[in-house]
Amino acid sequence: MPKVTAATVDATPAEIEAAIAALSDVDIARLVKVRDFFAYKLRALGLGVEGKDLLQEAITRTYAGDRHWKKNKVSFVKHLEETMRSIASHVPDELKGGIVVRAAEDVSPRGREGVPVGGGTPDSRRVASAREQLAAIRKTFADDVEVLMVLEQMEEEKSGPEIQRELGITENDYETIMLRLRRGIDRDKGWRV
Amino acid sequence: MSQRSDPERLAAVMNALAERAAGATDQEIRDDAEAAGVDLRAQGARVRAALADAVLRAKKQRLLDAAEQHKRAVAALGQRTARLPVAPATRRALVARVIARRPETRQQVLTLQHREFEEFTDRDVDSVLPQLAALGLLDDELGEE
Repeated sequence: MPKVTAATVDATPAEIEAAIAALSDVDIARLVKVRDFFAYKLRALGLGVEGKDLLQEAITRTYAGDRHWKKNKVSFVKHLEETMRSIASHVPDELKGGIVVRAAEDVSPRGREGVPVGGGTPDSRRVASAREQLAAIRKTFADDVEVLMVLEQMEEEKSGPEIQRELGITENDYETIMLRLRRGIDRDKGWRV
Repeated sequence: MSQRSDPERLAAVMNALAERAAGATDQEIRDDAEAAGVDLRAQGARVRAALADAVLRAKKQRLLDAAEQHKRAVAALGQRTARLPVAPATRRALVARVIARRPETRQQVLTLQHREFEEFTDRDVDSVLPQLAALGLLDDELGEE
């Protein structure tokens, strides 16, 4: 017997407008946080999307029909998060792996400890910017070894449970550390868009 | 440590924090806002207005796109009709060629003028030609596309 699933239904422009009006203050605060992290990433990597416009860009693309909100499948908030994630997901190949390491060396004779500024190719500037931002984040938590250890694991794209296993900490410990990380990032508004 | 580049490391941290924010409970969001001194209501009003503005701009863009498309269609039609022959005999011959090459158009042409092609006046031909041009049925005959 074939599995019966509900057909996906795209929202109409009027429904999109109604959904925007219906966003709660907490929904918006959540979207703003998501936007800020993705926007920060894009800005730090010099990838050209103005951070403050990322959420508006998600709305525009949805309204224009470039992104479809399957209203009977996901909430409007989830759809916007997914759209922002998609917009922010592309990291050019030239910024990955070995090529980047060479580019970084080109602009920084002092190696990974240095903070190269200006000069070099556009890609090397992006690498330098990313390095600078990572250094700034680490500096924010210079006095909190636990957060630094979690950050290091996050840089390796480890999930929450993986980080807990790797560091031998409980879920509660992890949540407490993540709370400090979130609050620290929030406090350091210099990077905010 | 892996061979990940700094951009990849930074991207991984920000992606993880974004995922974390997306999955946060309402209470976490409220607590974080309070800790950071963010007025959720004011922020909500500000962002909602910006999003409504984005919709307005998208609407305007949609209208501009439609207008541009219409303009292009009109220009294309103008180009086609501008290339129509002037001499009545040549114009009639052109319609005859189209009908001969595309027999299915014969009925359309006849329906347009309510009479047999052989009985068409020059005025009938003048009336039918732009319509055939608009349908793109003269493109081959006129050497377009």
